[in-house]
Amino acid sequence: MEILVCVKRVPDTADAEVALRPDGRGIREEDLAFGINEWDNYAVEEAIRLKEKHGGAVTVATIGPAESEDVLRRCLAMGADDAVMIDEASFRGADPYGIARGLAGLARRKAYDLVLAGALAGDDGYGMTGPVLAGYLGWPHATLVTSIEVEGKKIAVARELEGGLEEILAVELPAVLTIQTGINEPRYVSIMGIRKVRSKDIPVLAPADIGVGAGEVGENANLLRSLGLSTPPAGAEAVMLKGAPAEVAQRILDIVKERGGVA
Amino acid sequence: MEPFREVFWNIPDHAIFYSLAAVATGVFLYGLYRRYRLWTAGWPEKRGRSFDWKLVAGRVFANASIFRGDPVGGVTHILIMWGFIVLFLGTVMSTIDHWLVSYLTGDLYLAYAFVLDIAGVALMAGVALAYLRRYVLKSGKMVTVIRDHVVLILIFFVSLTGFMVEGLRLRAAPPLWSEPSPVGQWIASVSALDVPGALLAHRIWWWIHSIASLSLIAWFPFSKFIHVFAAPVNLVYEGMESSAFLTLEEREALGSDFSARQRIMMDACTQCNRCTVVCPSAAAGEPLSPRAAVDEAGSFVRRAGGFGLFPKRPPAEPPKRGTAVGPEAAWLCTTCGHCRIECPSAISPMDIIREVRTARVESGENVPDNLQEMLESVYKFKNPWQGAKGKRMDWAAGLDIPVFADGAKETRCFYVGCTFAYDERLQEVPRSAAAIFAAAGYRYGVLGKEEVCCSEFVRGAGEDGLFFELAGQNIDAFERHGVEEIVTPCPHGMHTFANEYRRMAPGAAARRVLHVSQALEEILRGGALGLEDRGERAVTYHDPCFLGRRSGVYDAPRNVLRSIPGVRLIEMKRSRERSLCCGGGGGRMWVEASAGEKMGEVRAREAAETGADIIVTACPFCFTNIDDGVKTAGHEGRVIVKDLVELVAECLPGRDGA
Amino acid sequence: MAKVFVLVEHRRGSIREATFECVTLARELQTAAGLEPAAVVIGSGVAPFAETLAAYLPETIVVDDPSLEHFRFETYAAVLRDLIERETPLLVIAPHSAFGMELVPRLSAELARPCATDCVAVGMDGGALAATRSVYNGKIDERLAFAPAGGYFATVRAGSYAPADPAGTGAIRAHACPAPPAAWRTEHRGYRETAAGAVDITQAPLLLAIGRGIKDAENIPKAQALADRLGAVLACSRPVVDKKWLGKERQVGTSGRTVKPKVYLALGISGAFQHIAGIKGPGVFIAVNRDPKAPVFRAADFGVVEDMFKIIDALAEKLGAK
Ligand SMILES: Cc1cc2nc3c(=O)[nH]c(=O)nc-3n(C[C@H](O)[C@H](O)[C@H](O)COP(=O)(O)OP(=O)(O)OC[C@H]3O[C@@H](n4cnc5c(N)ncnc54)[C@H](O)[C@@H]3O)c2cc1C
Repeated sequence: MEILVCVKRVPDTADAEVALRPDGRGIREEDLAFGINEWDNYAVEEAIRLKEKHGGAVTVATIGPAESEDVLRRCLAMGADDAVMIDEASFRGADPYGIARGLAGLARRKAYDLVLAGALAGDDGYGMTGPVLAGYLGWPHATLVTSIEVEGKKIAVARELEGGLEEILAVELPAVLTIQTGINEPRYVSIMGIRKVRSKDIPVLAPADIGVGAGEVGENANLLRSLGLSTPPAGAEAVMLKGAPAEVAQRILDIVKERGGVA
Repeated sequence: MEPFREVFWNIPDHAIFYSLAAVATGVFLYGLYRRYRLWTAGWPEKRGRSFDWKLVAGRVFANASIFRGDPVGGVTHILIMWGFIVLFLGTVMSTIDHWLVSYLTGDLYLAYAFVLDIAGVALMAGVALAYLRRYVLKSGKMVTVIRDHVVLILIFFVSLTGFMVEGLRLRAAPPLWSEPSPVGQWIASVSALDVPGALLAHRIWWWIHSIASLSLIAWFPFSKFIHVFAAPVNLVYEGMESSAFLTLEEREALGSDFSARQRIMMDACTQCNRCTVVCPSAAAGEPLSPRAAVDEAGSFVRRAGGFGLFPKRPPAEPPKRGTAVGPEAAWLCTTCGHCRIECPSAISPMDIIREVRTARVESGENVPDNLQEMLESVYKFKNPWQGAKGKRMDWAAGLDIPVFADGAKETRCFYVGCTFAYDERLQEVPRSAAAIFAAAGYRYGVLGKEEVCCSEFVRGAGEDGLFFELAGQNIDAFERHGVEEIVTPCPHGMHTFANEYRRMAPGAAARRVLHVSQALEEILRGGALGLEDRGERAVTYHDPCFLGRRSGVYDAPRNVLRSIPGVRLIEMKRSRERSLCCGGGGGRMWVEASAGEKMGEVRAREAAETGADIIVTACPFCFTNIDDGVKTAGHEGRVIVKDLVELVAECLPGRDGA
Repeated sequence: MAKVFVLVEHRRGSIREATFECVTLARELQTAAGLEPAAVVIGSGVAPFAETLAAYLPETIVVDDPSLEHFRFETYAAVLRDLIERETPLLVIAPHSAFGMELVPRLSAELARPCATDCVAVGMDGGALAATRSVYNGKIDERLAFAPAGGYFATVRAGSYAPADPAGTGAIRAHACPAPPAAWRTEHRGYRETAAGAVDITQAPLLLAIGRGIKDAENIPKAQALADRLGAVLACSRPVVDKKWLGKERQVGTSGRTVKPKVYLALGISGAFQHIAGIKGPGVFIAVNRDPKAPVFRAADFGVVEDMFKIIDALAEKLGAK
């Protein structure tokens, strides 16, 4: 089974201060830690497990700045066979449609059976790249996948729905799937492992290599245009309880008792 | 007639004996060769050339370290070892006498015979004591398996048959002089045999004795007797300081198994179990026995190398080093180093265990989830707590702390450490340090956001690549800012900077590394700060493993405590080099055992038993684990945990004692 | 006049709540931009749903066909392509849910009509449609405009709009299902419950919910002990389940359970909408997070900026003292 996995390098912002750049068009990146998008990590692991079980090869690809190479090396160390990068310059500022267009071009270069992507990216959270890519390729797709069973030329996947429910979908190959977290437990990649793949060649493809013409992607070709970023008001709604932990704890208990009638 | 002894008296078949002896010697030499090959198949560590004669001599000849804490064990070993050596030398002497120059005559012979008799008695007494110790006194908490019985019984049997031969000889042909062999004489006197009977019995026993002795010789290198060679070699190694790490590339090129030294360690081990007796994990009831780990690793290496009297073909696919020690056990070691100082042969089970971890981390197989997460965090965030880089200086909020990157021109770096920087409770420690430094006019700069994890536990967990990477970043930062001295409140950082970075960068060795307790000792000398009395307090001090055992700092923190007015220091039962680990080292902070009590609880209980009001420690992990232990073991309200630095800062003039 | 379509999401015999949130948005756009709202109900035997929707919007379009029994991208997209081409709505909105995420982005690409996903607001900006999206873990808002096209799509984050109340009676109109293609490439095979387990967080009056802030599996017992002392049931956010620290049955949120406790005490939860969307009802929501900018404080009634472990310890102490 030939599998292409699309990955993205994103900043970790859950526990960090996110500040806007002075121009208001992006965030300040200096103090943020970057790494593979959480959902993509599961996707890469899943691809490798499929390969280990059914044979074939896994290629990981990204469209992103030069630093994204680290993310690709990490994927190679996990067990991906090949990695490719698409020269980011012409994709700078591209919306998910532009990115999907580039990835579709890449997916056409080889007879892939399966293209995997994260269900969404932790930074901009569109959740579009996978299904839009499927649209450009004209392949069937399934989003939010939490399990994959191969059945010959078909696969059976579980899609996560709301409320602890899943639906089972049979999908013909080739197909595009977007992977939801928790589908597996991604393995640890040691630096030694990363070093072992350090000499592995990661080709950088130009737009022309993937059949994308000049001006077809990038900021100006976008279907979605940013009007600017802003910081939402913090804690606008909540009444903040202040004081030493013991005092706060007492307030919490009071509220619990008053409103919950317990404790 | 002058006293002498005729070799081969009453034994006509010399040729048979010599052939057997040749075979035994051949097997012996072959075995030694095989061991040698087994050892040298390991990768070489980079070590200095000088070594510590005193250490080797004291331990090898006087068994100094075996007596420690177990005098019976010491006596047992001395008896067997010296009995053995004397009998061996006796054999050599008589061989020289027989073949080269005849000199064993007259008084010399009498003395010789006497000494040999005594040696035989010593040997048998040693074996008897060994059994007494194992089964009656139980002083060593030994684990005995069949091979141990075989060894002991064979030794006993060889001496016993030796005495039989002697006694029967004296019975069959009493010499003209009175032979000073009390045991032989006694056997001769109680024997009821007539002369022809004694002659026959002598011949039979002579052969039994010879065959037993030759078997022992042949079996020697294949048994735990090999420690006779391996232990001294290992002690020689012990004195030769490790000078540099192998780079990842070198390590990879050299193959993936254990180092030569580690292999020697495995063969030097006699399973005496001292390590397990002091192991904090084992003491807490967790499924780790350093002794068993060394044993398992030894079997692994022998299996992988096809070692044996009849060599086996080594398995086609080399077995995975990650499996050399039990799946769970390998993650339980806290690298506290207690086993290492306890081992008479300077075996370091934790090094062997760490080596197993490196293989697991490399393959990603069998790495506990939490540990994996910690490593991912160090990789991504440069600290184990998933703390954002932008928050590394949160502890300094509202304080005026000189940061190198902002232009501080200092040669001393105050390395805060991840846990002190990100744990909100522990942020009080660097804040306190800053207050003391300010009061003392003690100059320093901090790396601020450039500071990354010292990675002690990353290395402890076996992720060497990540360790090198992060260590490299810290080393670069130290160099970039011209740091000549490092002061840190974190013993893990201290140990790593002082003992590990040295092996990576030539410049690092020149940098002075101090734990903050040592800096405080300097600052407080002569009552400099005028610390104020905040009332009578009984405190007990918990020696962090990485400050004490691993870095040799025991007195500085105690001196600091003594210079705080009103503080009375009570020592715990286990303190200084025998301090009990809190359970936080070597990555154990992130690994949970399937069974057993928490080490932090055990230690909290010991500390509480002293009746102290405050448990003082000087390490973020010790703090966390013991504080946790105090809470879970129900000592809350009776004793509190504090860092040494906080205790000092509270007594600064003008501060109110919290 | 230009139309705005609301795609009705329904599953296993009932309309999903999120639909009515989209209805609210459609009504807002009717007021703000003069768009004419219509509901689009696709399915098999969905006449009752159309009846329901008719009570909310002036127009309801029904596509009823046995082949549409279970939602699938292929079948629904075929219907919508046909419908959109004929009716040319200016905007099509749907919930940003497993339904919306599967259906809308790809359809938008195929029709070359731009789509903004996961919007927290959609409105007019200088005469053109614009969407607001919440990015970087809810710490930043982004305003988006659409490149000019024949029409647009938007999927709406759950909880961004209050569910609408019925108002008036609208017309119901049937639209024929287009002829199916020679073969489908996907097939619906059924549903599967994943959150079955012994605990039922949905009925608990008091929930203590922990998020990724719990850091370590080792800390779970601490939280469990506190929950026990509080008389609360322990719940959690998704990462805690993904890491297998707690069972799926304890997960609150869109892909977990929807809860309606009297008191919801969240510790170390950032407040992702997928989580918040699972907390319903009039109860009190107290959030503890050490990050003052955490979006959870925008959803909570009471907030505490503090290390959750300090609060756990303080609570345990207070409870122990009693
Ligand atoms: C289709 C889909 C469905 C989903 N369904 C769900 C769902 O049903 N339920 C759900 O929960 N999520 C769901 N998610 C995931 C959701 O997007 C978030 O990723 C998730 O809710 C984040 O969980 P968290 O808040 O626990 O973790 P994080 O976002 O990582 O936040 C952790 C928070 O803890 C705080 N913190 C850390 N340490 C401490 C400390 N010591 N003291 C105090 N605070 C601390 C941090 O400041 C941070 O705000 C879904 C995602 C998708 C794509």
